[in-house]
Amino acid sequence: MKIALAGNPNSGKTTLFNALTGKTEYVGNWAGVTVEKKVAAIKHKYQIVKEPIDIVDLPGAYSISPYTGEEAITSDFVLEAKPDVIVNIVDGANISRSLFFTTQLLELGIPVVVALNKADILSKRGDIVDSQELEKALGCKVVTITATTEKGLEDLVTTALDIVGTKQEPLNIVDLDGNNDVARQTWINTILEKSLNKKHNASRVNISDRIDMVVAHKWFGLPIFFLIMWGVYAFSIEGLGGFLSGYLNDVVFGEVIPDALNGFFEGIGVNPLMQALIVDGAIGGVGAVVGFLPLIMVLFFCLSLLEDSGYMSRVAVIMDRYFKKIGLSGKSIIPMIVGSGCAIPGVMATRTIENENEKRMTTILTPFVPCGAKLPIIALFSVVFFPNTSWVGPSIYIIAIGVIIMGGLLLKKLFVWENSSFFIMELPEYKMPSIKNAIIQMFDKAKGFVYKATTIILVMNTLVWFMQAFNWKLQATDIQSESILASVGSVIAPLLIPLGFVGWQLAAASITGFIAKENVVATFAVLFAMASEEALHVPGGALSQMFTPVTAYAFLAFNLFTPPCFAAIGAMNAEMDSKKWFFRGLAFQLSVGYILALLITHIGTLIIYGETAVGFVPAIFVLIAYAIGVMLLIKRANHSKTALVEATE
Amino acid sequence: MIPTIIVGGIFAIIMIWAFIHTKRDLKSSKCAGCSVNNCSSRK
Repeated sequence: MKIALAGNPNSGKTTLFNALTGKTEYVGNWAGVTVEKKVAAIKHKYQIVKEPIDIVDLPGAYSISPYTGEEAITSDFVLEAKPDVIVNIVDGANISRSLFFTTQLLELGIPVVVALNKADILSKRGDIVDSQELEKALGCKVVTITATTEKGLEDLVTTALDIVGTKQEPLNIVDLDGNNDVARQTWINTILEKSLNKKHNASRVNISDRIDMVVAHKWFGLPIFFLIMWGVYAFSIEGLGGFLSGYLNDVVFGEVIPDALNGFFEGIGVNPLMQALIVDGAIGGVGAVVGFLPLIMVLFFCLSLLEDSGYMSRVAVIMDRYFKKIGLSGKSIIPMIVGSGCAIPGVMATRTIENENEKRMTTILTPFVPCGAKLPIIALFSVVFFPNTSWVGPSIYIIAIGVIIMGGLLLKKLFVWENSSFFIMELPEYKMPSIKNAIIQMFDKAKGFVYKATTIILVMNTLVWFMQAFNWKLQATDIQSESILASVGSVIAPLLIPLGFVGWQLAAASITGFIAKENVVATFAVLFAMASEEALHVPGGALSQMFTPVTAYAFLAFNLFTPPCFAAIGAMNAEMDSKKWFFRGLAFQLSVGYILALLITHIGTLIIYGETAVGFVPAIFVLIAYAIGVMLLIKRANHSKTALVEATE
Repeated sequence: MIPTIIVGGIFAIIMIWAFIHTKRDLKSSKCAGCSVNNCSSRK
């Protein structure tokens, strides 16, 4: 038996889905978080019939006629898969608008039960909904619920199961001629006059509006956003998260576990090569990444609180005026905020953008936002080269915004773009963020992080260890420069010389980073466990042999702003649906990361040390070639644009 | 010799498990860094 959850965006469908199934799907206090349908079995608590019940969470939709990609998923499912019951989640804070979709669902003949959600907000406002009157007008059952506190859910499930197999009587809307939206809305307003006793005056300036006057202000909005993010990252990377990670890295994975395992293996007489594989390769690499777990948990806890409070929706509005200048709208900021957790759902969230050019541009630019997987690299370089400072993490996010805006301008010049669409976003009222939800999201992230460390990172580390411990004749070697990894890294290493990066180790770490970004840290851990006596995670540690602070920052930028991991590249390919655009996007990302690192190394070294960095001359040649290439491409784009205008006229 | 074989065997089992999961995740374009079931980008 299938129960579909359908309703407007940000009406609380995924919160209800999580409550009914016990899942921990990502919820956010803004429209467009869910872009795919999700299916899960109902929780035992609500399984009141023998037949198995599946709950289907559908992306939000304003109408049965799809306008964006994710709305099409909802209408296709409702029209073609024919669920046994539709639970239509109606946002109690926006009943009039929500009922538009309800009236369309009621015309399909599938039994519908209306779940009037956010009852807590209704009662806070003093608004009273006469459920019986509404039931009578709509011709279906109406159940009042609060999905966040799971209030009324048993009643909702019972009501939904009661109407399985019945036929929904179509609505009798007078003057409804075909798809007459005005008549439909007029009818809704008429029935609400009878069933909704509204005490709340929407035109009155409330606390939410007063807060918005400051945080979404034309001039103060952006500095306030930077200040908030600075606080969050300083607390996560340098504060509590950094402190706990430091303990895990230095004590638990730096001393306790390796010493205990080495002692145990030596005691029972395990072969030294096997011992090195497990302790230096597997545990060393995985430990170097898992050590950053507290930092990730603290950061995502804070971000979850910010999202749930409703603040992040305001960020989209703040960014809209800047994004408009580069041919994007505030709608593009949602995938980018989602992408700060993981680039894949970020790229997938571009489905909410209906304008094809805007969607492609957002898909190319979203992976520039540092995701959770990149945090261990930021944290490692921050600790080793810039100890006791809090600017490294936030500065990377400021650079990311700069790269997105500059990259957007360049993309606009390089290719023929149409005008951007208008951006209209419904701002949810501010609310006290749910600690429970933040804890759930935090542990979900932690679970995923540990899973990733014990799968893809473990496999890659073991491979890296093997490649640095053996030569091509498969003989164990103590000299790393004769290893398989050194010879592979040496092929790529010359390409990094213009960036001031010298050493096959850096090339090897960057290559493994494309599999999963955390591998950059893990690869350094494996390489330096064998080649250096110094610890990796301490100020002035093993990594300082390879970099100056300036080139370290450039290497950080190179790894963060070149194409993302394989999985995210796969997501880009799937969303772009065009090989030409996919490869254009990858080439663009690669060139942005490369040139950015080059500029940081050479300008930074000149300014800070008053001398030229390694690879200065090749860098000049690369820059000239890049500038010529970009100019030629812009010229070609202008030519195409002129041809297009002439053809249109 | 026997301790090496036993430790190696246990490590091999862990590696096979990790490899199978890695292959599955990469094949379905999953990062696996969060809710394990919801981030596959395969349409």
